[in-house]
Amino acid sequence: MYETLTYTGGIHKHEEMNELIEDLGGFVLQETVSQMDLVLTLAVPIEDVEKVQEKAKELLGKVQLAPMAGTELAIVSPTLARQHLPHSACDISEYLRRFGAKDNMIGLRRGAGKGISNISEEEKRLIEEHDLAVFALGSFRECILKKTHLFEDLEIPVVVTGAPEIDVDDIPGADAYVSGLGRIPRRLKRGENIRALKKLAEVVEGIINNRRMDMGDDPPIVPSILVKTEIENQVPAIKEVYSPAPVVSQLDGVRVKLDYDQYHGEIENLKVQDYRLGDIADIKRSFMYNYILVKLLSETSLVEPLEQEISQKITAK
Amino acid sequence: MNVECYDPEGAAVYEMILRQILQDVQVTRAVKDVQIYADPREPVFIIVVQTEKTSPPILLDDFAQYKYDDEANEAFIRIKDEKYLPALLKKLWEVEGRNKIHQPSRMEVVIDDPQHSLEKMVVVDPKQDLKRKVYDALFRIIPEGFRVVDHHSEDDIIALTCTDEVMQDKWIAKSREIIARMKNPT
Repeated sequence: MYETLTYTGGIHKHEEMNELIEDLGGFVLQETVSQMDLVLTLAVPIEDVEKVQEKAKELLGKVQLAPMAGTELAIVSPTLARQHLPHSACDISEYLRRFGAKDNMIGLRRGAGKGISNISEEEKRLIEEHDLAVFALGSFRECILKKTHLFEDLEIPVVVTGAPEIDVDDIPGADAYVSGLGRIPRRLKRGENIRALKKLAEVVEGIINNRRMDMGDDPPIVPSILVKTEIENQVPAIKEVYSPAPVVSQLDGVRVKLDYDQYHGEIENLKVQDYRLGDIADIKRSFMYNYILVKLLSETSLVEPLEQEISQKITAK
Repeated sequence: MNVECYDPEGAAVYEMILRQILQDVQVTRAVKDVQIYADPREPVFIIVVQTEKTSPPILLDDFAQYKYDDEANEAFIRIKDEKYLPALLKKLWEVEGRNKIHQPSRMEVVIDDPQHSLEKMVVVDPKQDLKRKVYDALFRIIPEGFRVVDHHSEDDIIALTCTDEVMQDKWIAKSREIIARMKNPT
């Protein structure tokens, strides 16, 4: 079992930390450098967390648990207009990032309005590429209940936020509802806002943990963190990508920020443990900028075709 | 300031939005009264703003001397108060064209071939500025999806009636009612 952590510290001697993680058999999920500061999102075996803490103390850095590390979330706002952004949708995004989540802001094309809001099939598919979606909706009970069609048939877990208290059973399609957010035209820094954000982080964490446990029954053949590391080691083109996170690990896959047409062959032929990646994963064109989306197949999904083949042979005989 | 709505939570949120945005746009003190009527069930959103009186407009004569030079076919302006220079330049660029305006020194402006009279030229109009700011605030406050807007402005009152469906007469009547109430507070 791995524990995901964030390390915050200075650049000075930080390679010692990277080396320690490597020696422990851990992974660096994301490395963000801003001027002299550094934020590492990392995963190490659970029994070695203390060693990382000791090293952090030595380097005068800080280590925190990052329960959402290794997940990619979608923060969806009805549009990108100032009624919704930067507060509160961006503040939600910023807050979840503190827990190690990699999140993307998504503004719908025509999600605003009560009677006229809608969502396109493409937008739905884009949102479904993530592990979980947070819908940042408004302040009126009426409006939130009228907008359930935006997320009703999404296949990933959906958390809805808004101002009023609503029972989650009244919102079809939502896995959880967090009140106390909604339309707020200033920074979410007051007590009640921070409490609401904390609640949201708790809820998201809970859903992700459940999802992890469910996946534990039928896990992917190789963990997504390993695929990410192998892509970084074996595909030289990834070093030329300027995004802060060129390979993003999700619960059951990775997003590779390379052009699909040019690189999907290379990704398919990648060796991960003893497998060819194309054999143990679906490699698709992402709806996000033609990137490559790798969705790892679970153990049972690989056995099934074999069983089918055998049963077909039996029936043929 | 008053927000009228069947849903007390929604009303509280809109009151907060209203205060915050008026503060952001810096018109809190210039606004005398604001009335909001919101009913998302219909759906309709009415906002009526009454502005305070503003100071009179500032004319070119108030802060500059000018004379025409017929021979050279140019106008010469000497400024006494530099504070209004940016506004003056902007105004001149607008009416005369940017290539005709020269500024040999900080306090002088020369206009080649002037076509418009400089007498009583309004350089800064606080009333117009305030209105611009109030409209900015209004469009920040109204819900985003409500793009069908009936606009009404008279004297110092600005009213927007917004919906995302076909505008109904009863909503416009409602907004006129609010305006009438605002004009004659009992």
